[in-house]
Amino acid sequence: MAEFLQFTFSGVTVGAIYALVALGFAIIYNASQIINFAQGEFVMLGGMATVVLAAAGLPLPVAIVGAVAIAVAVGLLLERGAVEPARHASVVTLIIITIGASIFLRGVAQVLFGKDFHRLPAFSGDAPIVVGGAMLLPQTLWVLGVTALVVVLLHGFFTRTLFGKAMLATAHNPLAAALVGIDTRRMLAVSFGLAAGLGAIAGILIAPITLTAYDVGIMLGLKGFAAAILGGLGSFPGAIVGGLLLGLAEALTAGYVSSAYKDAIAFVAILAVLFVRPSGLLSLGRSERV
Amino acid sequence: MSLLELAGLTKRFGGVTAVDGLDVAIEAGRIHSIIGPNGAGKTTILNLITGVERPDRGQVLLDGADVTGLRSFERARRGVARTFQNLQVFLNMSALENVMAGCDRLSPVGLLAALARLPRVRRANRAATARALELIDFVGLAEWRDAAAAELPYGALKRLEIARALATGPTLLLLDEPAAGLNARETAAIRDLIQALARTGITVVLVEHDMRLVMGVSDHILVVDQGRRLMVGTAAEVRADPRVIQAYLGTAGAGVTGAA
Repeated sequence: MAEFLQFTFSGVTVGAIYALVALGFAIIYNASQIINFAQGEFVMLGGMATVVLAAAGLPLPVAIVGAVAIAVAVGLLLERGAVEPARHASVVTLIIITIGASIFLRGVAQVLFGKDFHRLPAFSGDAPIVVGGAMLLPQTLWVLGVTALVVVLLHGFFTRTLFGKAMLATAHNPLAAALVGIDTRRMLAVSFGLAAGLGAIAGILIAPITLTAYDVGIMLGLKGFAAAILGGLGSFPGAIVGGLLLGLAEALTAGYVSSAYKDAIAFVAILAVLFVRPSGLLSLGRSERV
Repeated sequence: MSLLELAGLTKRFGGVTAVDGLDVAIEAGRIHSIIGPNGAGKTTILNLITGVERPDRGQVLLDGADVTGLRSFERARRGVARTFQNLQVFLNMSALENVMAGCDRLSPVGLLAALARLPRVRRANRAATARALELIDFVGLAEWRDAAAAELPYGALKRLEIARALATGPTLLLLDEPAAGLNARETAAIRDLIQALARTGITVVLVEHDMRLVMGVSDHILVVDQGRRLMVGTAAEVRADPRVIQAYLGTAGAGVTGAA
């Protein structure tokens, strides 16, 4: 039982991170139908920038805020510099641009930060809390708490504010949105900024647990993508459920079967979903009418 | 000064000249209709006014200011709203949210303020909700306000688009075939709605094929044919003008002339 609880803790922790990354995919996908394969690099940037800023002597909270700001700025630059100029190209072209951007960002990170693994201190110590015979790291509570807070804020943003509604409107029908006075280009930029911020927060939260390096974005990005597909691309609840399910599946497989198969789970999950329910577990069942 | 002025407006699609050197002035506070045979360029004129299309030549002046270079959302913020011949509703939202999306320009807030839902953001949202509810009542959709837009019947969606357009606080409202696909009773209700709108001081430009509706509500009618202005006049003048009959029925052939 204690063992099961232990696996669950680690599964939910990493699952929350996947959920944040998946939310980033969902936001950009909804705004533009683009699957942003640079999402993982925002995760990397968040962790690495925090490490660098903290090493430069900034207090941890300041370093964290600074790192999120840097990631958001990179997200906005990516939109303005690489996506916006190609706005009239096909979605496939834009997706390929994001793949190129991710390779570029990773390369720059490798030059700036080196190829070593970096460690970020846990936000409130490493002394584990014992729950039901299982060890719970204080950082896990940070991960879950911050993720929950982000989800609540995003939910309020999209359901209760005009800004959020303007983004949803742009996602569904850019022409009609523009004609009721919504600046649709700004909405696309905002979606990249938001997604970059979410990715950076994920990268910062997980860095004390898993270490971080210039290339952690590849795996975390792909896992987040798998979570988004699992839950239904473009669905916010789906991103969260998909992330948590994927994290749990990985932790339980690693614990009870073999950690060698841990990373395979995400990709088996994508295949299974695409075979059985291609629109994802919580897909919106989009209805088109004329 | 005219509320809206089109000066030498020209739009070509490949070899087809959809709008050809059109000069029109539209005065504030009236109901103006644009009629003409299919393919006369009516919808293209609306697209040029709202910035969906850019003209090859000519200008669009709003209150005397040249808005030809402005994008759609900027024109919307200057008081130009429209509905569509084929509906463009946000089907991923409720009826009320559709109308609220139209309130966006009235309460500009930053992203961070919106994320944190600061008090002023909450106030703006409450105000938008109240305004959206009022408009939904005004167009007669009170019973549908919380329904998903995708579930609304066709006639209700047409009204929803009008409510959303009104939410932007327009001075100029362009209606593209608001009665298309509606039955006689629904058309009569749309007519009442258009007249109620005009009484609030909004200038209405109506593109419509239902001649009873057009003749019944319009103060001025612009007749276009092949992208050119055929005539402007009152309903009675338009009805009596042989050029209009000719444009609709085609140039009378020799046989027909002989019979007449």
